[in-house]
Amino acid sequence: MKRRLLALGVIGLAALFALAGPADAQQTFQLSDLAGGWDVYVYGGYDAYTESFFGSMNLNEAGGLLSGMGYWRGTESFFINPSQLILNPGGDVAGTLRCEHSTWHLVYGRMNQRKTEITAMAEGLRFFVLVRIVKSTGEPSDDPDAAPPPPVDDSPEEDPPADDQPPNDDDDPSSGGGSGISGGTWSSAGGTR
Amino acid sequence: MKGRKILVGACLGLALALLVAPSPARAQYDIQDLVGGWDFFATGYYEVFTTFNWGHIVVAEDGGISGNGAHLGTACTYRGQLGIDATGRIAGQVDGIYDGNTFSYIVTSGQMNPSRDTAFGTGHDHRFWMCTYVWVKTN
Repeated sequence: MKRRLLALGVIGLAALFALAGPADAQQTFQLSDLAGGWDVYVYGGYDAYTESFFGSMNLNEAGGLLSGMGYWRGTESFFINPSQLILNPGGDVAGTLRCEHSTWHLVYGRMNQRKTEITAMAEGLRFFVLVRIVKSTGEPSDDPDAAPPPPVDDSPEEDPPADDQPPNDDDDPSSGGGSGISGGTWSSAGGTR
Repeated sequence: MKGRKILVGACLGLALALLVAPSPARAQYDIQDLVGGWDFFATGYYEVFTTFNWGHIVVAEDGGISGNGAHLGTACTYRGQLGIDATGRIAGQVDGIYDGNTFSYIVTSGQMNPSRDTAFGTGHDHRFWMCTYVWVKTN
């Protein structure tokens, strides 16, 4: 009888651990953790110029862009390819995201342990920006209970700008003043004042 | 009789599990929630001035900071001190040395999330430029 009681105790213990889930376990990340719908937030400032973006995008199992759109400095802007995020087993995130008005090269990024958020510093149109990418469902990609990402209209209604110049640049006194980024190497001018 | 013993066994198992299993929703934070590796991100903006920093910090048991990163795109080493109260509020400063110069990011108001894997903060740097901070747990 004691053996039965012991067995029942062990079963109870196992059931509770199973319900509670792994606690503080070291995560291993895989590329497919990038799959699904993400909300994207970008902010940075340089001189009298600020860059901001918010929107949403869908990524495939390889971290490639499927679709997405948002607002770059208040102007509607669709995500465009080639856009690709890379995630290594340690959780480091790199890659490039492009919208119609800007390109963000992630230079240092990290996915959180729950696999629901990515934080990164990126080279923006003129300077470094802080990028936050948050899972739209709030749940990781491999969660079968997670709701599907919201549909994203990937058919632009308007033609993209004729060139790469920002449409709202008329009031930007820093135009022509240099971006501070040169050939992928940051120049200290303006950053250390 | 048999059913009663089964019930007693199940209750014993449950009680033992509650004793040893960490609660998924711990209300209280402590320094152990800060201890370990974090990726640190800082960005700040004041009028026409910009500051930014990223890198990996390690928080020791006493809240002391070490690690390496990049300040204004130049390699830096970290030092400083962070603390956390029972509600998850974070304060302190992340200091560092880069290219023979020093910098400080003062955290006046930070908050760790309930999952204990991300924290956000605001404050200012050593020139009083307002800054936003993010810490993401790496281990």
